[in-house]
Amino acid sequence: MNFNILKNEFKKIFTNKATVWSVFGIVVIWSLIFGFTVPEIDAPNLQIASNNLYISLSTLIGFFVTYLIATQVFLAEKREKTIETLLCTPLSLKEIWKIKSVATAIFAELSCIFSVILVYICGFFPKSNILFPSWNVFIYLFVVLPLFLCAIAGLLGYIEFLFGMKENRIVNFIIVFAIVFGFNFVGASMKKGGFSSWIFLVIILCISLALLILESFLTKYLNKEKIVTSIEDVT
Amino acid sequence: MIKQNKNIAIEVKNLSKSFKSKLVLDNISFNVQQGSITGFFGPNGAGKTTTMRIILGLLYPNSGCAKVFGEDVDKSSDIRNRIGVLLEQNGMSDRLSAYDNLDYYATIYNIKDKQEKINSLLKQMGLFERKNEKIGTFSTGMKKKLGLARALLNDPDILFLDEPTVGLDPDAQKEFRNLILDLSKQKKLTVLLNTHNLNEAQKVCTDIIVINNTKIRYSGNLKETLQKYKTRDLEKVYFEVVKNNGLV
Repeated sequence: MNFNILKNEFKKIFTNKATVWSVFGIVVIWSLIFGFTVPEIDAPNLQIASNNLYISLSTLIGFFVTYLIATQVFLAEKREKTIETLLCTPLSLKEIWKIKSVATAIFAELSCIFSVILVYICGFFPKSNILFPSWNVFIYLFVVLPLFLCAIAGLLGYIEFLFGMKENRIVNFIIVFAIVFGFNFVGASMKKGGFSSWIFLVIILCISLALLILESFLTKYLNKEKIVTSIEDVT
Repeated sequence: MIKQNKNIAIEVKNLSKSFKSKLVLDNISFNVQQGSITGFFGPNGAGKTTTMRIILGLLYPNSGCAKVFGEDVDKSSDIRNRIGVLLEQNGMSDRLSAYDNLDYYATIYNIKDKQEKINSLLKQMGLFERKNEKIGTFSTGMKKKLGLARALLNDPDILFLDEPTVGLDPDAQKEFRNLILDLSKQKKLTVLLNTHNLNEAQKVCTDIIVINNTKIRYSGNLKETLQKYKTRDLEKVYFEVVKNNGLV
């Protein structure tokens, strides 16, 4: 992968200030809301509760940010009809998809790290019970989550490239519904749930790897004509 | 397999394309000579943009083939490195500055001394003073010029222009036309120009191709065509060809 192109793609994400500020606001608000709910948890479970919060919240924020950015990175390229010109460059379709997916995932990963830091900062406030994350949280944050976010960005990019507006609207509806449902889950995860357990980490790792393998196979069926002919539906 | 003639830049052979049950191109064939400026004309919906998209590898034909320098554009990144494209949309992000837009593509084309190249193109297009402004604030004419600068970043051998002067005022059209002529002379570029503007085409084109009702109705050298039709007006030839479906 050409890192200069990746750098430019990443830079391009930051030019959409509305999206960047939305992401920043969402990460700050949710991190603080959940960060300050931990004091309500019973003392003996505090380390597990904190770890569960770090992992479940970063997963959900990562998923949501990936969705927001992927919409900008992939769908806007069709909406603005810039994708046709991009497809005429020496880059292959697979390279374009890969670069955009990785740039999206890096942005989402940074948001997750920021969210974990914010939650930890909540621990400095009086009566807060937030504890420093255990090392399995770090493994999750720096090994498992990047792969998961790459897989999600790749999948969303694939769908957004392939489908027209109607289909993408249905996908968006499902994602928003999943996110709303997911936030209820984050609250519940602090009291019980094994988000910081090894089994959960391995499950997410396996899902991510399986998705990446599946996407790599599916890109054979993604062709320029499908993208170009679905532009009219998007615009 | 098409035998590659050295003087032929674009070769389209027995190309057919339909979308669902609608036939858009019916077994069309034509060549574009190297160094020529070829005007590709036809009424709305005649299949001009579809043909260009097939040549560029953005659409796939149902039968036949389209080659650029003997190769399939979709399959050859080397050929994509040798072409410049300005489609109906300029292909650039409104949120980026003129310089950053060109820098984005210059990185993709892996251009050496890209800063120098970008600045020189911006000067050539008269946009250097506004290089740091977001192109969302640019007029249509300025965006088209910037689009042309982007298409020329990689010093292409062939330039594909799809309705490049749509939305431009007469002054901007003239300026754009002169730019194409200068470039063609200086760099011996081959240009395939999709346009409805016959006056403009008459001033820049060396060859013409007319497409109507899914078929190529006429192709030939512009001067010879005008002599053949005993006229100085390309518009007259065009309407004659379209009206009679190519039968003179």
